[in-house]
Amino acid sequence: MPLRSEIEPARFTLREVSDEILRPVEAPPSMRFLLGLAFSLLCVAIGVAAWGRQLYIGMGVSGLAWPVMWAMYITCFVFWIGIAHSGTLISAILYLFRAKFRPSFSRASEAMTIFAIATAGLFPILHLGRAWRFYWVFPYPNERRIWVNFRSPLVLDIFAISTYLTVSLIFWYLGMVPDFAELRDRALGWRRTLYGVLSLGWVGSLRQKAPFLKLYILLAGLATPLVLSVHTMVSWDFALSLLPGWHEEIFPPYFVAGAIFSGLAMVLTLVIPLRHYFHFENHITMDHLEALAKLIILTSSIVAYSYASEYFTAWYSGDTYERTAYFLRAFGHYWKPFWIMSVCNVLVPLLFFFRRVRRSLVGLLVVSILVNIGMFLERLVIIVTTLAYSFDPGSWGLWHLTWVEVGIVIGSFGWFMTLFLLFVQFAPSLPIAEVKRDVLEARDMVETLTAANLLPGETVHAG
Amino acid sequence: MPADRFVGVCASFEDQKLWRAATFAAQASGQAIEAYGPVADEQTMRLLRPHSTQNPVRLWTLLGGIFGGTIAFCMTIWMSRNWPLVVGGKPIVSWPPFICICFEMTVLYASFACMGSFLAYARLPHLTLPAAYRPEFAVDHFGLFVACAPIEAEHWQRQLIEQGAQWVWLIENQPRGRLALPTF
Repeated sequence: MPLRSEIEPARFTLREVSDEILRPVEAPPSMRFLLGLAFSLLCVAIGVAAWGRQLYIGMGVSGLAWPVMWAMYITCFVFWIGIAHSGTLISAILYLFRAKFRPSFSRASEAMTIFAIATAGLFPILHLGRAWRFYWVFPYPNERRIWVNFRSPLVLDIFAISTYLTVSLIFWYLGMVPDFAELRDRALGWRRTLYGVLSLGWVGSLRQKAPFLKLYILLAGLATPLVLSVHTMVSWDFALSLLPGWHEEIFPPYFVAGAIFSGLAMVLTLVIPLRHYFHFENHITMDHLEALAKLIILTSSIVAYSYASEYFTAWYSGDTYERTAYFLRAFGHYWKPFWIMSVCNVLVPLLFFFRRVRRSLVGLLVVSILVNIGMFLERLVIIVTTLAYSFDPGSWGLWHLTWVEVGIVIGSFGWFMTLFLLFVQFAPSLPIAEVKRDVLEARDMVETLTAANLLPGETVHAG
Repeated sequence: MPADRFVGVCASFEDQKLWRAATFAAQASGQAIEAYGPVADEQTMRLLRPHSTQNPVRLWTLLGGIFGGTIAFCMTIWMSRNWPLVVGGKPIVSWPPFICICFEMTVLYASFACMGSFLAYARLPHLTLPAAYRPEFAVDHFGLFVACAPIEAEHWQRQLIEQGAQWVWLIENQPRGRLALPTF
């Protein structure tokens, strides 16, 4: 028997689908949108001012001081890369597995990926101090006659992240081409020209669709292992060092699971308001949101297992430095972020075992925001505590947050939200062609079930 | 309508199944056709383009991947030898970490080749739209263009209406190249 969510789309006409999804794009920007955009831009301005001060005065204003030379900026870098992780993964894996709830999240999550990488990419540059020399990490013929060190995980990061950005951008943009074509046909004036260029002359003919379907499945297949490789390489930034608390084999799967976990939570955080303000309740149903909540339970359990495994390994190894590092992580100067992280990432997602929480928009939103906070603090705890308490107590030192760092973090969230708001205003937030395909498939299913006398009243609920 | 500009007949269907059947019949009769629709579903593709599984996009993607991986290995080995810095006692050509760069560039070039071959085989970007295309084909109707001689037009009009088409109209190429030739 099919799920209710699988046959529900049958009640829509294809024109209704187009009208509903394109309404926010075709309507003039609302006051709420403009206020949201103004607030995001204000946050960006705060970030720019803070960065300007750092450039003018020097890195000393950032709170970075020996031995903690990686702190808030690298935390933000890993956090945003983690957020970026889940978007393409959700879209690509759900496409490969033909998941029915994919269209509800794919477009927003792909956009989230692009904007999160665009945000993450700023942080290594901010962290450099002399930001104008960031291009030195690329292998290019130069007057110094030297090449980059290909054995360094920092260089591997450059290749992994730039490839991930490029492939995600191709996957996202080409997926939108059929929708841009529909917008082109409906638009007038400068919008018609804009969408005409973006749609590349797409008309939805068989000649175009045959390679398009092949392209899409190939890109999904290429993107999936790429996603896993990116956060693996980010984890090596830490795991390939010898510091206690970082030098662990578990880091790659632990980081990948954590990234998917935080990305799923961010998708929920973005999609729930999107669904509410644009009235997408018909296309992003509670069943779809519930499916995402179940995935969060799974990834949370992997993350919880990783935390436990880290502590067990430190204890079982008998290594004094490892044991001390993990003891101080929980009971040292930074005990508050550690315990908030543990509660948010391990205990709070357990609320999703209750169906009432899984099917409540407030419950989903609150849990997803808490998971995001927890995952941000997780990166902070991993980075700062290890550097603050490395081998020799004589070399220990603490890091203190400064307003410049706070300003730059606020700026990064503002930058991300600005890009996301512009996206939902100028591009369809749901893949129209795929939603229509689901409508047609649902109609076929209803016909079959009606012929077999299985409708109405015998549909099985997703829960 | 000038006979020298006449290219065929186009029909618009509301029902996907009738459109599929009409398209299949027109294709079976040996006419050059083009079909338009708002969704890209694999069922239609299997019926109307049974050979689409042999699509050259796959081959180009493979070739792109092989090229990217080879270039990556060559680049890392050459650059390491060109500036032979010993790091941590490792050999100059430490190929295990180079595999990571090789993997990334394999995926990158495979994606570029995939996109490039898609654009080439789909004949995109295209500045003009086919004369047979109607905006409704992107929304809720399914279009079928059958290329035929002017003398066959009446036959095809009648046949398409019998097969469930809502509207049928004659297609001519527009003068001065404002609209492109219908794609077959």
